[in-house]
Amino acid sequence: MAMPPALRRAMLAVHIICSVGWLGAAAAYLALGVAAEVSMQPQVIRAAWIGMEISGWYVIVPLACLAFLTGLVLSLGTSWGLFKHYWVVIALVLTTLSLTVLLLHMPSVSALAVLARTADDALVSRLSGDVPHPALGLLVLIVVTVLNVHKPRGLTPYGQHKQAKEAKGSNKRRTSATPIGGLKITPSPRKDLPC
Amino acid sequence: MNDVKRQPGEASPPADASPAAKMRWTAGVPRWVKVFVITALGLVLLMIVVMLLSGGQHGPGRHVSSAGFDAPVAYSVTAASFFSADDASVLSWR
Repeated sequence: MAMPPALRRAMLAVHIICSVGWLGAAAAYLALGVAAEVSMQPQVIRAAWIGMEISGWYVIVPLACLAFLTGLVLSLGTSWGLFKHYWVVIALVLTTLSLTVLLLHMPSVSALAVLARTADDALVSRLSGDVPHPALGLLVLIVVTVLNVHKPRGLTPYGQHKQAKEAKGSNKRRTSATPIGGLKITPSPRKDLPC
Repeated sequence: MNDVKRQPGEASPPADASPAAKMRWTAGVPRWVKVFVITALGLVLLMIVVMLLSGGQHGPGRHVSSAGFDAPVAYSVTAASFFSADDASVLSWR
């Protein structure tokens, strides 16, 4: 199922915007998490948790969902496929894992933001930050980005099977070419097919 | 994130690639995948060990230090409803 080039480029643009936006928003979230972790001032901790909740629900979650969905569409709409190449499979697993952890973690962030808004200074000053989740998330997103840029080679067994099947089907079509005007057309070997 | 996509034809080894290069595309599990999986498993194990050593607590309560805290805790029911039983004990009324 190949996408028209114009649609593919548009989808790619949306995907890059969302993915890079997710990475940047996660970095900003980490900065707030570190601020809440190291600060002893209730105002700073309160502001950081409120900021983490707002940026989490209104920036990170929508961008992550869109990046995930556009990535799926791009994989399925091009010959890369979703399960043909190891790098695509690993990127898919890591992105799914990141999105799942994000969606499971955000209710806790909301709870702590409510606590930061309503509790007195004595309790708020005992709130720590949120460093491990965004730090690990950022690491995973960087790994996925490197995979996407580098695209290391390697076909999965499913990818090898599909490729062999496609090559076989293509050879069959060429050898069954009908003669035109009494001349038998001998197909020349295609150079763009892998062995 | 699957950003920059190559043209469809580039998902296969280049046409002018040597037979050895083409074999590397299709033969077995690539070395980089093995290294990647082993490293990822090592990191996951390390995280589990760190979590166990730190008391195995994972949840919002982890973000609140209760040491030396004896003032009445006033926070909304909405916030409290997100905490597990363990977390609630950390944030219990004194």
